[in-house]
Amino acid sequence: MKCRFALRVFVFFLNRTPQVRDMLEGWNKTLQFNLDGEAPFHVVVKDERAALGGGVAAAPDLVVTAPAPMFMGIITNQINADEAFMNKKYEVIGSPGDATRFRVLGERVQDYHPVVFGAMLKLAPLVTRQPERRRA
Amino acid sequence: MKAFVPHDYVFASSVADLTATLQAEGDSTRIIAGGTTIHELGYHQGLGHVRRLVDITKLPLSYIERDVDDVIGVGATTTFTQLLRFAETQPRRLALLVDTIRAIRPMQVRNVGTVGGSICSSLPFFDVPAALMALDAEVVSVRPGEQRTSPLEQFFWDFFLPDLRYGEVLTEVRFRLPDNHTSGAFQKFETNSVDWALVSVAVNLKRDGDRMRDVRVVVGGGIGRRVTRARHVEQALEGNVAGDPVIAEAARNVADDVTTFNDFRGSSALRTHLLTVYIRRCVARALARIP
Repeated sequence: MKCRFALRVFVFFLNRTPQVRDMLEGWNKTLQFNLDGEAPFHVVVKDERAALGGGVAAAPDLVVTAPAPMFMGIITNQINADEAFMNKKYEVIGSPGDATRFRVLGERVQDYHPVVFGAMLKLAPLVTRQPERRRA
Repeated sequence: MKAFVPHDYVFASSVADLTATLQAEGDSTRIIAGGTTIHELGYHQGLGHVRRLVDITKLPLSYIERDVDDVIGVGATTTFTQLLRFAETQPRRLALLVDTIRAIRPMQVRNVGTVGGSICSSLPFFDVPAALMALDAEVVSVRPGEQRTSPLEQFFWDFFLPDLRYGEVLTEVRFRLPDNHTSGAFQKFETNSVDWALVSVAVNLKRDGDRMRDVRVVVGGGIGRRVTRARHVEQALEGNVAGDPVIAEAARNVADDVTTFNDFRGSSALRTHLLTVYIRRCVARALARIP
């Protein structure tokens, strides 16, 4: 649920950031996220608006398959997405240009809302912390 | 694995026709010229829902023009071989381009790969964009009712993501022919002759007496998301007396310009080390070319 919540926040602000509207022009896509540890969800971008939905989309343009903690690490800048991809820690099926457009959109939306996303990024290490294993 | 097969393959009759088609059909249509990147993407199922390829090789975009102000315009479908032949007419001033294109070793790629395609692919592994950025090139792009010129160094956003808007097409690259006291060099490290570069370095600089001026150092390859200027290195070289200790010290600043990463092809430390070595070599070679 953590990743889905994070993307819901992102989508909320994406729709309220007119400065990135030119990047959404003509980009009508469905991005499916299958994260191990969370229920599947998807983001639909149409007519320069984005919406997040639960479940598996019928015909996604891009499918991201990753362990949820890793995806959370990527979107909170704790893990280098390129390094993880090159080392086959997660999988992207579809046009790589769509994947990088989504990434750049994410970065630009963060830049335009530094207070909200700055706080989220500061809290991220606490939220994503793994519970310590008990000693035997 | 299922190979990519386009449903339709057409030739654009004019740039206006091309931009109108792209605007109407959007992402289901992709431009093809040399085809090297399209082939690679198709092979790896990276073309998404592309159904139609529009071939632009019959458009009048294959040219190299030099105007009275020594500004060189290179059409988008100019091949690397054509650009090499032109650069060889200015062996010192365009040594950077000569080095770069000669370093593309598969002859087939040199003969069909286009300047516009290598830029629009927006991949840091490609050599020609790094060289053109070191030459301070600009790109001209058009879409219906609009033409704009933007610096090449602001053109790359991410892998496969150039600064091209919906329905926009790159038509030309422009750069000024360097003066007689300016030269450059390009080197790259690759694990074999058909592999993409692990690191690549393009340097262009002017020799003013014993000092270095107008230094531009550009790094590419598997070092990040886009071809990048090494500004800390440039600042450390600019205006300084050319000499091995100064160059070696300046090259070490590349660690402040790019954050390399680890993968199966090489560690982050190796890439940073290679960048340092190749920057040193390129600066020394560029200086040696200027009398």
